[in-house]
Amino acid sequence: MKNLLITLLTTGAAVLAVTVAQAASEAPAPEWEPSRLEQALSRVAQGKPAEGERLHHYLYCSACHGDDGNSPSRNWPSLTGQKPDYVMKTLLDYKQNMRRDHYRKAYVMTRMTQLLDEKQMADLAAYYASRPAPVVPPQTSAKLAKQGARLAQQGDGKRGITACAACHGERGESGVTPDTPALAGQTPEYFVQAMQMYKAGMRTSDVGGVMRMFAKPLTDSEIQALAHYYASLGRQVQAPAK
Amino acid sequence: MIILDHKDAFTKEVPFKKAWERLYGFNTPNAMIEWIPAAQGGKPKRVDVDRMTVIAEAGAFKADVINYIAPQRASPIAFRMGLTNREGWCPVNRRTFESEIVRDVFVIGDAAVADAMPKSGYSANSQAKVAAQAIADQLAGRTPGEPSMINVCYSLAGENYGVSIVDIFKVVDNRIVKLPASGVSPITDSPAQPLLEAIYQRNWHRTFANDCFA
Repeated sequence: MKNLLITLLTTGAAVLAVTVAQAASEAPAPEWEPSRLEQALSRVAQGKPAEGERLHHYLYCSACHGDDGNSPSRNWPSLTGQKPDYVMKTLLDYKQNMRRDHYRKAYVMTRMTQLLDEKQMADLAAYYASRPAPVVPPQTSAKLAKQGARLAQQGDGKRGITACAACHGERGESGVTPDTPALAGQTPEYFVQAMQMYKAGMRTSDVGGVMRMFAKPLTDSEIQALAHYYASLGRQVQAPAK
Repeated sequence: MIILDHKDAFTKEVPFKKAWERLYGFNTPNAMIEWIPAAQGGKPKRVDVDRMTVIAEAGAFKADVINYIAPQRASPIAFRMGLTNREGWCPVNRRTFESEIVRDVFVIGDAAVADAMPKSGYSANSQAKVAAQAIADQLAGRTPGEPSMINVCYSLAGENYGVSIVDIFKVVDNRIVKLPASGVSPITDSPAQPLLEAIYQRNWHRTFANDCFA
């Protein structure tokens, strides 16, 4: 093991260490305003599902989000069946360094979205939207789902909590505005993480701070129950999804 | 940067060279990095410190900074304790990392003769776990089990460009051998691949440091 290097060094293990600037030091974009968001999403309808499918594999999205967009992991969300506006918005959130919640996880997407232009974002969005909703995650608890159903469907008038279904749809199929995603079949652990970030005010990608406001009065166990309720609304399959 | 190498190959050579091509113009007239293997006279003969010059078989190379990696061997403490063989390394029982020369002394890491395992921090960490388990087994009067060892090594060829190698090892006929599941970063045309490897490198480093020192 006798290498000789001039002007820079490496070692027998061949490590070329370069000091790394972390994305966290970059300034985040200002929060969304409805008009700016609408403009940013103007290209979403031009997305091509076939090209999005190619990108899903070519850019290794599938490595975390699943071969078909159904997340195989508790760490990451499923993307299949998501509405295109929301996927495009989320990709823009990351690219603009807006998702500083849960820093180490957001970092992956913050870096990855630097590779994408708006056309590619629209293609990915179109691909996921073209797929059926996620299947019910195997870890979904029927007991917790039952507990969450009432709050999701009716809210809690006494505490001023609006029904989630009012925006996210009767069956978690998503609502009308770009920032109301489909929730049916979503990874419950990811759902909890997202809600806790909203509750703590650390996730600021919601337009007008709406989700930060709704998440605030919810208890940890209510968030858990809602996560399993929405997970339980996913697609039922007999055999494992191909 | 000029690398004078006394060898004709190196670890992760294929992805490293691809990274150098993509980032530093390797193999072009504007290359920022040059690698001179032994076959092209890369073998260094001496270093003239006063003139900041390395004399290699291929000629004299003057530089602003020289990093000379000397021939390696186990550290002095291993010699003082009488753990080394004629080559300057410490022979060990491959299943326990107990010295084959001095009983009840365990040697891990670069100093140990570990056959196919590279001399890396991750190898040492993996060997430490095998040795610790073997010591616990010996103290409890059990026969140490069959070890399985791993090496993972990530390198950054650039800020957003990672390359990696993974090896899995087991002991066959009292020698540590690499299993076919091992592999090195593939070359793809996806820009996401080296970027993800760079992200994984940082996560790997964080969790590995925690595993060693936390």
